Amino acid sequence: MLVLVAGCENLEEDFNTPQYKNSIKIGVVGDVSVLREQVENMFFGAKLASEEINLNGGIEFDNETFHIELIFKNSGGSPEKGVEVTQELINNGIDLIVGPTFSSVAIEMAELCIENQSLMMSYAATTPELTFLNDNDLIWRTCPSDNTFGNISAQYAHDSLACNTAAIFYRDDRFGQGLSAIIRDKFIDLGGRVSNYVSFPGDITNLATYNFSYELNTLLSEEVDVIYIIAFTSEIAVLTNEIYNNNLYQNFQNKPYVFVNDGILAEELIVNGNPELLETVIGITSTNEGNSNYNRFKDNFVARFGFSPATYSEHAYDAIYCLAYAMLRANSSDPNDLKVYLNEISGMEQYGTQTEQITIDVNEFQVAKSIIQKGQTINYDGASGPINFDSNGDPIPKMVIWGIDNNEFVELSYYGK
Amino acid sequence: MSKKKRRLILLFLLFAVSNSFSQEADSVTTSSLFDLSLEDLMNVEIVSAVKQSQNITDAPSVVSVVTENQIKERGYLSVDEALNSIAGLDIITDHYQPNMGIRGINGGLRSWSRLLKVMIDGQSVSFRSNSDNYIDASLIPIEAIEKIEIIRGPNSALYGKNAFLGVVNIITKSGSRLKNASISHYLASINENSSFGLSTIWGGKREHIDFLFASSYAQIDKSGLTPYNVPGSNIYSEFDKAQDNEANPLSTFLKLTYEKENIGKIVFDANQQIINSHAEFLDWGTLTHNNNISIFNGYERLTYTKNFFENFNTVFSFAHASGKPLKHEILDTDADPSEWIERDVGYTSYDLSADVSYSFDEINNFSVGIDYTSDIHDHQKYYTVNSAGIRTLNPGGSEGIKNFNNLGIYLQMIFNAAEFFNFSYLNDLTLTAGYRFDYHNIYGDVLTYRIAAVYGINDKLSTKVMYGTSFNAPSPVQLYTNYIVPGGIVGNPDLQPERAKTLEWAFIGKIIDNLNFNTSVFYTEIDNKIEYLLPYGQTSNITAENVSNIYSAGIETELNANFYNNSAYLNYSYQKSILEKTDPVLEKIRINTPLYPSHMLKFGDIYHFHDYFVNINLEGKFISSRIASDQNNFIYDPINYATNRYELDPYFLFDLTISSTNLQIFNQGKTKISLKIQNLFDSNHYYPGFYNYDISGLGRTFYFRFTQYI
Repeated sequence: MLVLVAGCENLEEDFNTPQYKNSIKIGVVGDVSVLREQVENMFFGAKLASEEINLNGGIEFDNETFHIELIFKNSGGSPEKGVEVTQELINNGIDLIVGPTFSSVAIEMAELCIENQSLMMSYAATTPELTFLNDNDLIWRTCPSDNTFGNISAQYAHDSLACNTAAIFYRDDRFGQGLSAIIRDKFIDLGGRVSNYVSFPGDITNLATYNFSYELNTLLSEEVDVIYIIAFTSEIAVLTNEIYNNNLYQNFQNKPYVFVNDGILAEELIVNGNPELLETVIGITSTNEGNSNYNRFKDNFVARFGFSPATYSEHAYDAIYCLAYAMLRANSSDPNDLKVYLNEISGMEQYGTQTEQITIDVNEFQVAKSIIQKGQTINYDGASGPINFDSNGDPIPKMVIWGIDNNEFVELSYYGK
Repeated sequence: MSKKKRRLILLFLLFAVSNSFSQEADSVTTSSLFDLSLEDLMNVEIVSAVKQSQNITDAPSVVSVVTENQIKERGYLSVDEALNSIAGLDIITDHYQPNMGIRGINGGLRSWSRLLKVMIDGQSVSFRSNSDNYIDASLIPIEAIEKIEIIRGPNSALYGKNAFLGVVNIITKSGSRLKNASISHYLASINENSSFGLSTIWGGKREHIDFLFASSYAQIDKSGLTPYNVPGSNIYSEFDKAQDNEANPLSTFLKLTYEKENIGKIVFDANQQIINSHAEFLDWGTLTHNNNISIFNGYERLTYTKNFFENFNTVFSFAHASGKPLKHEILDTDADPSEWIERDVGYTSYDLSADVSYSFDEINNFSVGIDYTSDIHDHQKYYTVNSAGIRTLNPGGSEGIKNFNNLGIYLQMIFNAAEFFNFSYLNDLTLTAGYRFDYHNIYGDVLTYRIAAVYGINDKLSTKVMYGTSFNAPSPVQLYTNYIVPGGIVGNPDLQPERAKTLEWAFIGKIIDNLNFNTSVFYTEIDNKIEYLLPYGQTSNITAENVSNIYSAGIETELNANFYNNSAYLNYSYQKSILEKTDPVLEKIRINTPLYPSHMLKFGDIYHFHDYFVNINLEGKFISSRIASDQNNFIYDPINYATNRYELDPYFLFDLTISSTNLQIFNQGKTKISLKIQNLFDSNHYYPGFYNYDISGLGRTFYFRFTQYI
C-alpha cells in the first residue's frame, strides 16, 4: 500500500504553470492588495484577452509567431509601489504596461513610462490628470476620464432627478479629490447647492474598525436631495450601513438619492449594502448590458472563470486587444511603433480618415489578423463599447446611469453615442 | 475578580464539600492509579469502533486511547491537551478554541474541530449550528473522564454525519469506579498573568443507583500576546497586545445510573458547556478588547439498555440537546464600544435511537440501529447595535429551512471468516462490514459503508485492512448566515456534504514484553471539500463552497514502553496532503494543503520515584513547518498566492510535570500536588491565523495544582 501511495500522482504538486515558447511580455499592474476581488477580476479580463489571442494563433510579424505572456504585478495602492513594480518590469525588458487600477498610482507610473519610452495603457485610472500629460503619445487608457463621469453624474442628478441640494462624501486621495471637485463644480454651475463637502481618509486599513460617525454627521447635518459618495466598492457598502446605523438617513423627511461613482461591483453592493439605502442608490458606468460586444465578453468570461466580470474587467480586456491589434498593424512590439496605430485600430472616423474600416467585434482575433495582414484597417469595437481613442489617448465612451430595483441592477438612462 | 465569579467558586466549593462526605471510603490509593501494566494498556477495551466492547487489537479501526491514568500523570487539564499527545492529530489555536486537524487536513477558517465527531459516551456534543466541537476545558470536567478513544479514519457507516475523518469518544467514569470525591484547584501563570481553575468530582454507588457529578471552572488569562505579522508586512507592532484576553470555561457533567437485572439499565446523563472568551484573535475582530463570546451548549439524555432475549442486547436512547449564545455575549469588530454586534443563533435538538445487536458467540455479531434527529435551528443572524441599543439586522445570507431532520439506519456484521466461509485456515481472520443510509431533508440521501479485516498473526501481533466512506454535512451557519461585517462570510444554501473514502492498513502488537507498537498507513480522498473561498468575482464576501478535492496519505506509528520505573510513549506521523482545486488563473492545480505540518513527533516519559512518592513526567513534541493560511498568503504575495506561499517555522515544545504520588496531608484522604511547566524552554512558536497575522503560542507557563481526595 505504501508503494501504491508513494506512486500516486495525486500526491504530487502541480501548479499547471503555462509554458510560452516565444512570447511578447506585457506587464499588467493593478492594486490587487487593496481591492482584491475587483482588481483580480480586472486581471482576469486581461487574462481572457491574452488566452483568446494565443488560442487563435497569437501575434505574427517578421514571419514569427508570438504568444502574449502577461506578467501581473501588484501596485498596492501606492505610487511608490507602482513605480517600483513598473521599474521592475522595465528592467526586465517589458515596455508594454497595462494598468494601473488607481488614479492615485497612475501619474507617477505614467511619468516613469514616459521617461523610459514605455507605453502604458490604464484600464481603470480615471483621473483627468492623465489626459493632459506631456506623454509623447505613450500614455493611454481604455476607461473614460472622471471629467466625463463627474459631469454626467452632476447633470443627471440636477436635470433628471430635480436635485437642488447635494452633499459630497469622498475618499481623500487623488481619485476622490478629482472626481468630487468635478461633480461639485458642475452641480454648482447647473444652479445647485452643495451643502457639505466632506472627505474621509483614503488609507483606512480596516474599514470595519473605522468610526465614520464624525464625518457622516458633518456631511448630513442638513437634509439634501442627493448624497454623492466617491469611494471604492467595499467602502460604499460599509458607508451605506454606517449612514443607516448612525440614524442619519432614516430621519430625513425626503429620502435623498445616494449617487455612487463608477466602478461599483454589483453583487458586492447588493449583498453588503444597507437594504433601505439601496432603494435610492444610483450609479454610473461606461459599460452597458445593451452592448452586444459586452454581452459576448461577459458570456466568455463567465464560461472561463465561473463568475461575472466586474466593472473595468472589460476595459482591461480591451487594453490587451488594442495593444495586440496595434502590434499586428505595426508589425512590431516596440512602443514607439505601436502608438502610431492605436488611434487607427480603435476607430478613426472622427479624424476624417478616408480609409475603409472593417469593424471587429469581441473575440474576432483571427478575422482581425487576416484583415490587417491584407493591409486593410480595422475598427475594434471592444467589450466596453466603441473605443475611438481621442488625440489625448482617452476613449469616447457611452455612459449608463443605473439604479437598483428589487435587488437587481437596472439601466435608467444613457449618455453618449 | 468580580463578585459573580467569587460567588460561583464559593458555590462549587460548598457543593463539592457538602456532598463529598456521603461517599464511600476510598478503596483505591492514588499511587495504585499509576500501576497499570503495559499488558493492561495493550488490552484496553474500547467501544467506539463498533458500538460494542472490543479489545483495541481487535477493533476494525485505527484506535488510540488516552487513559485516566495518563491524564492524571501528565497533568492534562482539558481534552484538547490529551488529544494533542496522539499521533496524527494536530491542534492549532486562536486562543478562543482549539482547532483540531487530522491526517494532514485542518478545517481552516472558522472551523473549530469540525472534521471529527466528538462524543461523550456516544452522544454528539458539537454546537450544531456550526458543527464545531469545543474541546477545551469547557467540554467536560477532565476528572470525569475514564478514557478517551480516538479513531483516526472514517466512521460514518456507524455514526452518520460528521464522523468524517475521525471520532473522539469520551468515556466517562461510573460512580462506583470513582470510589472517592476530589476537589482540585490550580493556580497558573500564563504569559505572566495569573489564572486559576477549580474542579470537583464526586460519586458513588448505593445498591442499584450509581451516581457521578463533576464540575470545572477556570479563569485563564492570555493577555499580552501580539499578532505575528505576515512576512513582508508590518501591520502590527510590539505594542499591539491582547488585553483582558480572558476565558472562563465552565463545564458540568452528571450521570445517574439505575441497574437491576430484571429491569435493565437506565442511565440519565447531562453535560453543560459554557464557553466564555474575550477572543482577541478572531478574523473579524482582532484586538478589539471588547469581544465576549459566550455560548451555552449541552445535552440531557436518557438511555435504556436491556437484554430482552438471550444474546440480544438492546439500547434505546432519547436525548435533548441545545445551544445558544448567552445574553451577555458581545461581538465587537472594532475598538469603538459605542457600536457592537449581537447575534441570534441556536438550536434545539431531539435525538432518538435504537440499537439492537445479536451475538452468536464471542466474535460473531449482527447489529442494526435506527436513529432520528430533529434539529430546530435559529439560523445565525448578526445585528449591529448602536449606543441607543437599536438593533439593525446586517444584510447578506438567506432564510433557510429551520427544521433539519435526519433519519439514519445502519447494519453491521462482525464475523469470523473461517466459520462464515468454512475455511479453517481463516480462523484468525475477523471481518466487519457496515452500511448506513441517511436521509436528510436538506441535503438528501447519503450512503456510507465500511469493510474491515482483522487478522491475528499470533498472540502478539495482528494486522488490519480497512476501507470506508464518510461524510461531513454542511452546517446551518455555512448554509445561511448573514455577515458580521460588510464583506464578511455569508451563507451558501447550495452547499453539499463533503465526502471521503479511506483505505487503511494497520499493524499492531508487542515487540517484546515491555514494548508495544501500533503502526498504520492511510490514504484518503475527499470530494467536495468545503473551503471558505477567498473573495473574487462578483462580490467580496467570503462564502463556503464545495470547491476542492483532497488526497492525503501518511503513516502513523506509536510505541509504548514500560521499563524500570518509566512509562514512555513515542509517536511519529508523516502526512502528505494535496489539495486539488480550480484556480481562476492557473486552472486546475494541485498544491500542498495549508495549515498542517508534514511531520509530527510526540513523546513522553514518566519516571516513578516510588521511594520519594514523586513522579516526573517530561513530554515533548516536534511540529514541522506548515504552510500558512490562504488568507495570509494573499497578504504575502497578492499575485501568486496560490503557489508562492510562506511557511510557519517548525518548533519543539517540552512540558515538565512533577507530581506527588502518595501524600496525605489531611486525615480524610490523599492529597496530590503537582507542578506543571508548559513550554519549558519558552520556545517561540506560531499557529496559522486567518486575517493578516499569525498567532503566537504561549510562552513558558506554570501550573501549580492541588487535589484533595475525600
